[in-house]
Amino acid sequence: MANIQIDHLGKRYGDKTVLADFSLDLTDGECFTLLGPSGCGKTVLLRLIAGFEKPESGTIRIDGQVVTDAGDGSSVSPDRRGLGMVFQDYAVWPHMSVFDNIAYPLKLAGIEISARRERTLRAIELVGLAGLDARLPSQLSGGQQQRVALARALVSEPRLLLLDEPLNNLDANLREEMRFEIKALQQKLGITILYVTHDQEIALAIADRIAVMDENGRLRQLGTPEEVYERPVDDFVFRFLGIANFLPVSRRDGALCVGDQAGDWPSLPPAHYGDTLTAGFRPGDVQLSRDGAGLTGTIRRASFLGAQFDYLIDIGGALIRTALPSHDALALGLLFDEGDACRVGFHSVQWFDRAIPTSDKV
Amino acid sequence: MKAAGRREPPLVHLAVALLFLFLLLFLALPVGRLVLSALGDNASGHSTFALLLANPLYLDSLIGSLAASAGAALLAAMLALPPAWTLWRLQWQPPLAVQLLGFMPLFVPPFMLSLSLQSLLGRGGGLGFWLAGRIDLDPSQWGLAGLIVIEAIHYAPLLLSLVVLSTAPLARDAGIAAHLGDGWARLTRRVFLPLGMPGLAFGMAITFLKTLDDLATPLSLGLTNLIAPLAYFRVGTHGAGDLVAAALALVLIAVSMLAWTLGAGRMRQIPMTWNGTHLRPDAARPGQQHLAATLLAAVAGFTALCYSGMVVTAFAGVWSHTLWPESWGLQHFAAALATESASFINTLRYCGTAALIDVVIGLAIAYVLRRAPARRELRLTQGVAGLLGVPGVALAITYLQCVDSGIAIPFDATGVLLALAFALRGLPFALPACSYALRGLPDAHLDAARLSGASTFLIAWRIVLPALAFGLVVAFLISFGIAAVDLSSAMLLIPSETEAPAAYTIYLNMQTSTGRGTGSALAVLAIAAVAIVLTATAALIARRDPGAAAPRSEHGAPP
Ligand SMILES: Nc1ncnc2c1ncn2[C@@H]1O[C@H](COP(=O)(O)OP(=O)(O)OP(=O)(O)O)[C@@H](O)[C@H]1O
Ligand SMILES: [Mg+2]
Repeated sequence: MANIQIDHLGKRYGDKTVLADFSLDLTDGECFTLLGPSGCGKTVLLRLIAGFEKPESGTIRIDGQVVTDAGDGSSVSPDRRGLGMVFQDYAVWPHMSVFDNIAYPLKLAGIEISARRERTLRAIELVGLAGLDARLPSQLSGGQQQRVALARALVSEPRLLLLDEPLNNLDANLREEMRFEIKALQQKLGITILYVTHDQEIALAIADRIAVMDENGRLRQLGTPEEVYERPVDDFVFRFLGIANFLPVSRRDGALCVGDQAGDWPSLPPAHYGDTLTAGFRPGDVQLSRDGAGLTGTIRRASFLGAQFDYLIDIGGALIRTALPSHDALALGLLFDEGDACRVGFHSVQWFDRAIPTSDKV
Repeated sequence: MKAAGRREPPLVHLAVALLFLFLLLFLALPVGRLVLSALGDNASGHSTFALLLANPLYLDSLIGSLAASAGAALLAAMLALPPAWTLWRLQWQPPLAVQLLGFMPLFVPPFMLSLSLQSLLGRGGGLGFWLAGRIDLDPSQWGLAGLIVIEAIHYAPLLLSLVVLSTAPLARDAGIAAHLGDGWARLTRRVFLPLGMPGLAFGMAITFLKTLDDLATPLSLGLTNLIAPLAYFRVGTHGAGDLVAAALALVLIAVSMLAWTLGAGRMRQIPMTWNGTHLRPDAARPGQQHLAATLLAAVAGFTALCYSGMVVTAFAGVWSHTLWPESWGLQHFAAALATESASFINTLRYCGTAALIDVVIGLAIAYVLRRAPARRELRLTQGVAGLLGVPGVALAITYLQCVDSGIAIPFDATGVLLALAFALRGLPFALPACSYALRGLPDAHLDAARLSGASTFLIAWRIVLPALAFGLVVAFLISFGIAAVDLSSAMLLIPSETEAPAAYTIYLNMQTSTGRGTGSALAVLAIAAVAIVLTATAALIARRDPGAAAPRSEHGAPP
C-alpha cells in the first residue's frame, strides 16, 4: 500500500506544455482512475511517476518520501520506487517465455531459484495463465499478453500499480472480464492502483475515485464515480462521461423556454445563472410520451437496438437522442415512426450557464 | 511516437556526428579532391576535360555507356512488367521466400550470366556449336546489344519482385472492384500502374546504375569502349594518378547522380522504407493460383536456363566443340576448393569488415531516424539512398587518387580501402534492414526492464541484443552479399591478385579457357550459398513473426 502526492508538477516537450501546475493525491489502497482524451498527457504523467522522465517543476512523493523533486533535480531511480507498471502496449519481451518474462524482475532482485519459481507460478495463476508458462508472447492473444504484463508488474509485490490503458486492445467481452479481475485483484492484494484511460465506461466501473483531465492536461473534476457522473462541473466533463444531449434554453419572464415552448423541468438552474442557458441530459433521462405535457418534438430517426429503442428527436431544430427500454416502449405504446410527433419531458437535467453548440446533424 | 521538439539524448548527437565524420572522411573529401584534380590543368597545361571532349573515343564511350544502361533498364522493365501484371491480375500474393529470391540478382554478379550464355551459345560448344553455320547466337558477337540483353535478363527478376511487392497488397481489392463492375483496363491504369511505379522506378534505377558501373560483364564480352572499362584501363596503363581516369570517374558520378535523382522522385516510400511486413497468404481461387504458380515457374525456369551454361560447365569434364559435354565429374569443384579457398577467406575479410561497418553505422542512423522529425527523416533516408549514385569504379578511382597523392598511403595495399568502398556502397541496403530490426524494440521494452531493476549492461545484453540480433544478422548478410559481388570496386582496389576476393577469382578463372570449369564451380557454390541464405532468412522471418502470416483472434490461442 502506498499513497502518492503530486505537487505542482510541470512537464514540457520543446514548446509544448503537457502538464502545468498539476497536483493530485492518491490515498492508500484506493483504485484511482484518471480519465482524459487521447494526447492529454496520461502516459507522460505515469512515466513521471515511474521516474522515466524528469519534470521541469514540482515534486512527487510516494509514501511520504520525495522520489522526484524538480527543485534540486533529485530523482529516485524507477526500480527503487516500489511500483509496478503495465505499459500501454504491454511491452512484454518477445524473446522470453511467459515464465521468463514474469520471473525476470525476481531474478534481478536476486531471489533464490525455488522461491522465484514459486512466486512466478503464483503470479501466473493469479492472472489466469496457468499452463501457458512455456509459451512465447507471439503465441498468445492480445488479452493473454496483457495478463503477462500484469503478472510481471505484480510479481515483485509492488505497493503501487500504474496501469496505462491496459484494456485498450481487447474486445468488449474480455475488457469487461479483465476489468472485474483487476478490481478483484486490487481488493485481494490491497495495493494502490492508478489507472489511466480514455474509456469512461471502464473508468466509472473500476474506480473508487475518478479524475477527469482535459486535453490541456488540466484536472477538471475529481470525485467518486457517482459524483462525477451525476454532478459534472462543466459540459466538458458531462460530455466526456457518456452520450450527451444539449438543448438551448432561454429564461423569459421567469419561464425556461426552448424556442417558443416553455418546458417542464425537473430541476431549476441556480438563481445566479444568466438568461442564456443550456440543459444537458443523457438519453436515458428523457421521458417520452405521445401527448400530454412536455416539449413538442418530431421523430427524425427510429432504430431498434434489441434491448432498447433509439430515437433521434428534433426539438425546435436541436437534435437529441433518447434510449427507451424495449419493454417500456411496447407496454406504453411508444413505438414511433419517423415523422411522428411526440412529447419530451425529463427525469433529470444538468444546467450550464452559457450557450453550448447543439447538434443539428442526423 | 513522433513529436516535434522532442529533446534528443546525447547519444543521438554522437551518432549523427560519427555518421557525418565517416561520410566526410571517406566520401566527401576524396570526391572533392577528385573534382579539383579532374577540373584542374594537367602537366601540359591543358584542362583534362578539354582533352576528353576533344577525343571522340571518350564521347563515343559515354554515348555507349548511356545507351547500354538505359537500354538494359528499359528491356528489364519490359521483361518484368507482363508477368507482374499477370500475377496482379490473378490476385496472387507470393510467399515471402519467392519474393526474396527475386532479390537474388543483387547478390549474383551479372558477368556470370554473360559467361553462362557464352558457353551455351558460343561457338566453342553447346547450342552455339550445334547451330554454327546456320545462325550465330554468340553474345560476345552482339556488341552493346549483348550487354543490354544480359543485364536485362539478370535484373528482370528484381524488377518483377519489386513491382509485385508494391502492387500485391491491393490486388485482392482490385479483384473485388472488378467484380463490382470496374474494368480491368481502368484498374490497371488507376491502381496497378501508380502502385507499381515506385517499385519499377527503383528497379530500373538500380539496373541503370549497376550496368553503368559494371566492369566485368562488358570485359567478358570484349566490350571496352564504355566509360567504366576505359577508366579501368587508364588506371592500369597510366597509373593511379591518371587525370583522364579521374575525369572519367567524375563523369560516371555525374551521370549516376543525375539518373538517381530522376528516378528517386518517383519512389518516395518504396524499398528504402520497406518495413518488412509481408503479405497475407493468398486467397486467390485455386485455378488462378495454379496459373500464377505456372507463370512464376516459367519465369524461374527461363532464368535457370540462362544460368544453366555455368552449371553444366561446372559439372562437365571435357566440353569442347560438342553439343553436350563428353564426360561429367566433380573435379572442378575439387580444384576450386583446393586452389581457391584463400579467395573465400579474402571475401570474408573484406566483406565482413564492410558489413560490420554498415551494421554499426546503419544502426546508428536507424536510431536517429526513429527520433527525427519527419522532414529530417526523409532527408536523411534520401541522403543515404543517394550513395547508390556513387559508382564503384568511380569510388575506387577516387581512393586510388588519394593513395597516389600520398594522403592515404598508410591504407595502401592493406585492403582497408576496399572494405571502406564496400561499406559505403552497402549502406543504402543495410539501412532498411537496421530500421526493420530497431522497429522490434519499442522504448517501453527498455523501460519495463529498467523498472525491473536491470542495469544498463543487462538491458543491452538481455533485452536489446536479443531483440535486434536477427535483424542485424540480416543487415549484415545483405551488406556482405552486396559487397561480395561488387567487382567494380574490387577490380581496382585489390592490393594484389593473391589477395583478391572470390568474385574476382571467379571472374579471372572464367575468363580463361582452362579455368572456366573451376570458375563455374566456384560460381555455382556461391550462388547456391546465396539461395540457401535467402530461403533460410525467409523461413526464419516467417517463424519469428507468425502473427503476420495468420491473424490471431483475441481469445483463441493457437494449439
Ligand atoms: N517524448 C516526447 N516528446 C515530445 N512530445 C511528447 C513526448 N511524449 C509525449 N509527448 C506529447 O505529450 C502529449 C501527451 O502525450 P501522452 O502520451 O501522455 O498522451 P496520452 O494521454 O497518453 O494519450 P493516449 O490516450 O493516446 O495514450 C502529446 O501531445 C504528445 O505528443
Ligand atoms: Mg497514453
